[in-house]
Amino acid sequence: MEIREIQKVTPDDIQVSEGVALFKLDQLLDKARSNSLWPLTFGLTCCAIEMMAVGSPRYDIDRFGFGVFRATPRQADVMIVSGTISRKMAPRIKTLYDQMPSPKWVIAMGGCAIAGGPFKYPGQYAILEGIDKIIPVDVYIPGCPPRPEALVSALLKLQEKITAKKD
Amino acid sequence: MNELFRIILSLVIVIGFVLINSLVLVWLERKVSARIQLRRGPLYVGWFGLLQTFADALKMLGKELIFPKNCDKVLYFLAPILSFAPVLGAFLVIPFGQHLVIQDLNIGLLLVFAFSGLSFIGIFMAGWASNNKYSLLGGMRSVAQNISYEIPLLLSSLNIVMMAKSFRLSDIVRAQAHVPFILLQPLAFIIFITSALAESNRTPFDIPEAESELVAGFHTEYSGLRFGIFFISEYTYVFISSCVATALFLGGSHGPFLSGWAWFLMKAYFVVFVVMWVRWTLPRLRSDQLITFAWKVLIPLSLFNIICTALALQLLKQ
Amino acid sequence: MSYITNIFTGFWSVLAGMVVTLKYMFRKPVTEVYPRVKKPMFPRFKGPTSFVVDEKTGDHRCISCELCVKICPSLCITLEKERGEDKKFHLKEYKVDYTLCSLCSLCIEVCPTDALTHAKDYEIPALSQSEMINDFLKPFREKQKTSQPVAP
Repeated sequence: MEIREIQKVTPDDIQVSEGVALFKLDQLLDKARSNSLWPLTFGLTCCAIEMMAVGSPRYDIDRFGFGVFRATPRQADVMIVSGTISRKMAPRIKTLYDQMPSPKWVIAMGGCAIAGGPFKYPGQYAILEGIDKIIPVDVYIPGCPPRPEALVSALLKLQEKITAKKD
Repeated sequence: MNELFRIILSLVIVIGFVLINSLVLVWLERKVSARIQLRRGPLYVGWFGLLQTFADALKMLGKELIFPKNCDKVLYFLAPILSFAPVLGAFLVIPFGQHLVIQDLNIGLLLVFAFSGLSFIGIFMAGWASNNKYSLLGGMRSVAQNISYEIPLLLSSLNIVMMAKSFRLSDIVRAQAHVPFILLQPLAFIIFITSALAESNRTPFDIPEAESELVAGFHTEYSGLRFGIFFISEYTYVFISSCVATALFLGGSHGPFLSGWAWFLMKAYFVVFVVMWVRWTLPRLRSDQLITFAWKVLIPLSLFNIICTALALQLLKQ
Repeated sequence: MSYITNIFTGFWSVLAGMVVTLKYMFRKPVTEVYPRVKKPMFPRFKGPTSFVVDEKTGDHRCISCELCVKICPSLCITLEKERGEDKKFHLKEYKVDYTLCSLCSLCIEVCPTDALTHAKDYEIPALSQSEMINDFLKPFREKQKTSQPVAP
């Protein structure tokens, strides 16, 4: 299964010289980053309930090391935008994103955060149609709301994206 | 010269031990909390997630360090160091074995309390320098809490000093060769553990960093490695408290079959486990409840305990 | 007097709570090890919508009546059709934008030929918005390609 392969260290990653295994430093940093993505405690609407379920005993994202929900943006790595973004809330989200220290990632969870979902219709004035209008998004999870497994697989996909070979 | 070299070497060893130890303690905490909540805890990074905290530390090394706008840059920079350094100093007098002690001072116990009393200055500095209302509130709460709980901590350990007739920690351990003091002073042990929990800002006494009220309290504005140093100093403080509790109450390095330092570490880690167990059982106290608890319950109880101990010692002497 | 009883009851309740958590520590965890073990979805689980494969013909059942397009509250279905030589409508394109779909299943209820259903797929994160516009006819086109006889 491809998800398991992310955790494994492939022989290409390691340079063996005189019996000592060496990672390249940036690859090691990427591995460390991808294995401790601390999310921001930040729930907007109903998708936040599914986000809470992900931290619960049944799905338990602490297994991957993602379970440390930090209350302050200064210590968080990934922002899970879970729910409808009203135009009042949008500047606050932008502020929170700016306060996070880089490197930082964003997951847009649910139809509303991706493109407005059911609120996208002509004449609509109160809802921001998609979080990617104000901040860059790395992984999108469609669904209304998505299952907790979908969020876990999105986090694993983000892990894959971080550790992917850069040229 | 030889003595100086020995102290420097042992301090280097202590720093290495402190770093590894706090990473292992964070892993242990996450595993204990997971098991109490019927979860699995860190599982995939390394063997049973043992490398998880190393990955976290490495990630923190690679994070951006932020100076908030209008912060007091000198204090902001110094605060994590000042909260971490005194904890290292406290390692100077902990008797890990019969002869395994860096400097066996005759005022060892006082030195530990003096150093641990310093660490909240770092926390208050962090709260003040961050230029953030939540940080400032957290720092103020930390000062109130530490001043209140220092008194029962000292009073409860005074019983032990009265019984062992020495401030030297190795003398206190030697006095427990047959009976550990926890059997003779159970009330003092409970008061000591409770105040030590409050001193190290652990749940149920973690109001300086209460997540639901103050975002993250005094370290709200700290990112990356600076936050990591606060984290490490908190866990080292827990370890120091349990080392002192082991030396004062649990008989230190005395025990059958195994060598002294193994017994000491086993007892110390057991106390650390109890601290974690308490953390994941009890909810956070309110600020006023916390201060009331210190001044109305713990201090009268420890004074009462001291009077009882003095009377009993005087009666036994005759 | 109540001062002393308060202390004792407080201490006793702390002990009782700690015994409870100690008992829980030795229970079996309820965690489902998700990426290793994948749970089959429940029969009424609403995944993304997709076409039903007809058992007899092996094709979809859509007759291009556009009822689903009209009823969709999120306006996420795009349908293109053409009139064939037999004067019947043939489906040219059927795309659903999952960025907008809220899985209300109105399109499934209104379909006269039961051509639509909820898939049981739930691992659907995407790296860009364009990945989430799903072409329903794609699997059928691929099937046609593979079933066509190879020219000698």
